[in-house]
Amino acid sequence: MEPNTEVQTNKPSPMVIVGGGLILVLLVVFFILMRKPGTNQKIENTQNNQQAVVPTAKPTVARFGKLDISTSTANVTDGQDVIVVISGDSMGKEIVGYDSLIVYDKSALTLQSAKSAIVDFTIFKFDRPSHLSLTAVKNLNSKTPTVLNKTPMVELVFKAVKPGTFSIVLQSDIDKESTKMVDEKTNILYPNLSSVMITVK
Amino acid sequence: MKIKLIILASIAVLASIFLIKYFVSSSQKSKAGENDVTVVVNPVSGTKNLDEFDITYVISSDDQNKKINGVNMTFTANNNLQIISLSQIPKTYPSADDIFTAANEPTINAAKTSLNFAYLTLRPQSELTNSIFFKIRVKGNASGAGTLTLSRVSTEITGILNTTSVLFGISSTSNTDPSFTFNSGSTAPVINFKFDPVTTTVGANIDSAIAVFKIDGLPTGKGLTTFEAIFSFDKNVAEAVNITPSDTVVDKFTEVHKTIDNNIGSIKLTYLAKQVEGMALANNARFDITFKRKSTLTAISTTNTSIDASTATGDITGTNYQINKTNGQLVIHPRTTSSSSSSSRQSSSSSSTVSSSSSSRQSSSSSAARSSSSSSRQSSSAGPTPIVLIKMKLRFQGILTKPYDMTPQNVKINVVKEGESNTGFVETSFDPNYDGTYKGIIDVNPVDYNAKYYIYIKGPKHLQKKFCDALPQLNAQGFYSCGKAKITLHNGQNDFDFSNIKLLAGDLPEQGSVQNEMIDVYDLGIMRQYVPPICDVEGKKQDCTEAEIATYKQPALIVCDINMDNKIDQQDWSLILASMAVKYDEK
Repeated sequence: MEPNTEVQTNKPSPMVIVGGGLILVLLVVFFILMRKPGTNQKIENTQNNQQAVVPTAKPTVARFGKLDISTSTANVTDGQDVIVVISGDSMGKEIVGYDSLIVYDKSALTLQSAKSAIVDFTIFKFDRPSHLSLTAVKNLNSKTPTVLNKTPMVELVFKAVKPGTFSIVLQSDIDKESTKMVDEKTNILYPNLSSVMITVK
Repeated sequence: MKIKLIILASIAVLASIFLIKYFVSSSQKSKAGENDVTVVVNPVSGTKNLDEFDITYVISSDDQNKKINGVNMTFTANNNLQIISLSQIPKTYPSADDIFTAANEPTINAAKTSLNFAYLTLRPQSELTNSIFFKIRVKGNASGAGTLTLSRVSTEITGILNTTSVLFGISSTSNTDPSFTFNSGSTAPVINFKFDPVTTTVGANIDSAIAVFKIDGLPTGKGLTTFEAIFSFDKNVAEAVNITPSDTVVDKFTEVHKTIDNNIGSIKLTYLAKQVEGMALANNARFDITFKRKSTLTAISTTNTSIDASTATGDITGTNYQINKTNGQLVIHPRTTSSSSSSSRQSSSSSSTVSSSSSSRQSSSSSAARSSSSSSRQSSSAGPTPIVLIKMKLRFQGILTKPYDMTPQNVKINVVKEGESNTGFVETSFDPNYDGTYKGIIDVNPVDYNAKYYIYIKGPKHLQKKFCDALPQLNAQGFYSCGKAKITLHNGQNDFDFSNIKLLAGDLPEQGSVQNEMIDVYDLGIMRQYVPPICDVEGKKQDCTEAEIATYKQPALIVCDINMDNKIDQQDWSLILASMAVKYDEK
């Protein structure tokens, strides 16, 4: 009886072979059918549905990534410094520069400094009548990748000069200026934006 | 037996999943083409020479509920067709809104036979459209047939139908594979022989006017070895009295013919490039041709300044240049009976530009008008509006000597009366001089001779500068800041030398030469992209052949070569960073 058992073990029945092959074929077919257009560098269609029900802050511009403004000094007394950090999320894109428009109450907050938090970026600041305009660009010879993932980009220091509650807002556009990032191919990305509240006592 | 049961059960489960998936997908996708869109291609066939041309693809659906939000396309060029570029990224049709961003940058293989790109939009459904379009630039590379094939297998067109994401199919009736027959005809570049501006007017109160004839439009890096132009005009209404070639013509060419025959109304210009070792060929030419009104004229008359014959040769492969001719028009007004409306300043400038045949009568009559010159007189004159020309000399940042690239530059000019707002502009071509300055001329009408004017000037890659003075100078700190308007204008030609003040570069042109009045991160980004290493093949910067670099550089040079030295390098980068001290157009 033992030799018989060995024969059965070494040579599976044709039904098992056919069944296994069928499973294999079905698995391949199943895998192909389950693939969606969004995979393998193709169009991420699911995002459109999300966007379809959640309009962006500025619906005329497609938003990509995010610039987030935050502070660890939301409550200060008159005369104290308010430190604000703008962080970026470029959703995998290599960023080589950005324009940022910051609107704040100039009678309540006085800008002291604007410093790039990314070492390889040079920042240019322009104190416009209604806002602060920042332009930053990655140094030409930098080899450091700058894919932003909640990466602090710029640190702003204001001095509080008036009591009250004030907002500091990252504005999408003012006149012909806009808040945007560019990638290494000079594709323009318009990020989602945020604001922060400051209370001065 | 147990194993057999498990296998059969697995097969049953998988078969069920397969069937469910099949029914779900078939209900969404392919009910007899329910989710198909139409692709219309233009041109879809034809006979072409071996030059580049665009093929337009319009993807659309009759059903307004079908909204397109993405495409992923793959094309293959067959036989004698080459793919040059995705010349127009997907946009909404017909409104051409720029709503798509690249999910997969256009990629062309080295053989130029395949193109793949993917674009999508994240806009909400309410802002999507049911039609989009894009353009692919192609060319024939030899005589014979060529086809551009859309790969339906790897193409995806996505969108939203009602609230469901769908993958659209392409209708079976769509002809997505345009085919062409290519001739081995001339592919010589087309250059311009033109009168610019087209119309030249000899006003009632002046004797003459200058018509400007230009040769331009040569491909970058190409030059002229010979050219000939023969013009005709009506000898009964005007006579040509002087022809002044530009510095470029004088420096680079030997004059063979520069003849005027007023008996038949004809001008002939024939020039031959000088054979000087190491000297680059000229890529433009300009002639200021002074026409004088016939004294016997009693009514307004018009004559064409027709370019009857023209030839040009250059360092091009194959045949001569093809010439696109733009004839001019000369409008001649008879002299009015009163001579008092001609100003003294006009006569002085006229005598410097018009040949000695300008009569002394003109200057004597104009000096009589000096004391009575006023705007009210101008407006009450029954005659035609006098000509006021503004000739300007400019200096662009970074160009201190004769530029390597002598291409004329388009400059926007606005002459604004003090107290009025700066709206609109005229765009005119400025020719390079050998000291690195550029000169150009515009005419302005109407003019208030008693008013003060500002002149706003914006170069093709530059920030706008406002000028208040005819000869502005830098202050001790090295700046020029325009205060109160001091510029006055007079009849005839007004000369202004603004070359002491550099026009700062950095507002680089985007698509369609649009500038956005500031240097922003786009300008810095595009400059940064093209500073060496200059060659970028399929996303990876690497060493390239000279031919590849030349191909790659052409569009970039037009945008980023600030100092016109025919390369984009650290100097251009430094110049744009220096301009960031100003950033905005001067208003």
